[in-house]
Amino acid sequence: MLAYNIESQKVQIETFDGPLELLLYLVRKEGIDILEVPISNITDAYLFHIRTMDLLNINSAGDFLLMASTLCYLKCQEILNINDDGSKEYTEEDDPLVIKNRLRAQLINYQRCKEASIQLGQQNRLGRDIFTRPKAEQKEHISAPYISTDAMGLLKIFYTLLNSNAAQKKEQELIRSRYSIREMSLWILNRLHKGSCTLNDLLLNQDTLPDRIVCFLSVLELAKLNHLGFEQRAHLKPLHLSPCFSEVIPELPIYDQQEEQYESF
Amino acid sequence: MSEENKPPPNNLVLLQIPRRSTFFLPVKEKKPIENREVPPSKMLPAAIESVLFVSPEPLSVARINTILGKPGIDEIYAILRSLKKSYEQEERGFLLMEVNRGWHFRTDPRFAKWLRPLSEETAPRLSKAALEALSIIAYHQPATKSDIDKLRGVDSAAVVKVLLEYNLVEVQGRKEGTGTAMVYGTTEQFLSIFNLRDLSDLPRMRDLQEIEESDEFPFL
Repeated sequence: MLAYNIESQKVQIETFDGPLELLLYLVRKEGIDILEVPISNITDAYLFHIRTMDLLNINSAGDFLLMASTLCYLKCQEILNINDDGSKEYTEEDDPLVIKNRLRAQLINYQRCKEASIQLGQQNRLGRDIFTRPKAEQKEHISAPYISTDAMGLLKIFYTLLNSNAAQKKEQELIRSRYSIREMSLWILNRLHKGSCTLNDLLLNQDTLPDRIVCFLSVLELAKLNHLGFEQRAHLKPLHLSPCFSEVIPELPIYDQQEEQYESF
Repeated sequence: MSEENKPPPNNLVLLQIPRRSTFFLPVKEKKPIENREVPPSKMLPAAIESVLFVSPEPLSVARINTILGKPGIDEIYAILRSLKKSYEQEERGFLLMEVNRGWHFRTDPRFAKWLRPLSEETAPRLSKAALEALSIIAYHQPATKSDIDKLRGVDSAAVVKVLLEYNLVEVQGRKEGTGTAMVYGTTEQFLSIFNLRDLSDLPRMRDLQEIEESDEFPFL
């Protein structure tokens, strides 16, 4: 009896991963007996499948071909052996009984593996059926900055910034500082000679933004020359400057472009 | 002490960057795990529970023992079993499960559909073919690719690659004898994802004899 038709295979084509799966499907779902199925039909079903697969995956088409030919061979032998008196001798390669047993073992093993895979597929799976605490992201190298102030403190800092002259100006005007870095450095050294002060004190002493920039650059220059020491007692606390010279204010080897320019004019 | 490591003179560069700023890569502190105080035996079950609660991965009995200052493996094991039982009996949202040779709090599968949208970690999606190959490797490990091909009757290179990418299987060496075929086995990740205590926890595979006697292949 014909237990399937070629048209109905269309739906199934994509779901068969190999010849064993197709064979198992034919055997189990349709309840057919391979040896009873007309040979042309089973070959047709296989060839139809292979034709589709040619386009998709040429590798597995060979597996299907092999299975089809094996089935064809078995069926041929079955027909031929109807009137056989058992006198024909087979080698191991072409003995239908051996081939049949091998196919049987293959099918049974595949059946087991399929059952196992279905069971495994139904097993509770982490991330699908069961869940757990997510692993903490490995962000250990970035620790939160330590801020030693509270919300009111932040507001205070913000107001200090707003109130300083520099922050208020919205329009930018390029003004040359009245002082050169050399002059500013000397002024800072003199200031420090009287005692240590904070960077804020120095900067707020300057009226204009350009002066403040020059002041800041001078501090950097002096630090580079080791005439200054810095100390900050805590994060975001004022930076204390201290003189690194004893009595005499040191000579400044600071190259001053501005002064040179003045000289050349 | 080398030249570079010498502390600077007091009055020189004292520019101090606060310790807890983001500028420094903190040295990973190795927490000393030896010589810990053991919690009082009355509090031991709760202590074990708290350790399990914090851990994002399954903890072995030996590890719990070390963390809690070695109160004794047998004692911990007994407490774990009673904890597991009590979670099951109390109908809690999560259960104490034995996974990957360890113990882990995991949610009750009954609540999966409500938890799925919450979770960022999703289970690997495995095709039918991948599951077949995975089950062959799981039950027959160590298995070569040709073992898998032979059992499935079709080339399995692509699905094995997928399993390797998901870290469900790994190459465990090469087969001795002819050729040097790679042999595959399952990983710890496999046990963790499939919620298995160990390989013996895999669902039982039907015996060959059972199938042969079952009349499922009458024609052969």
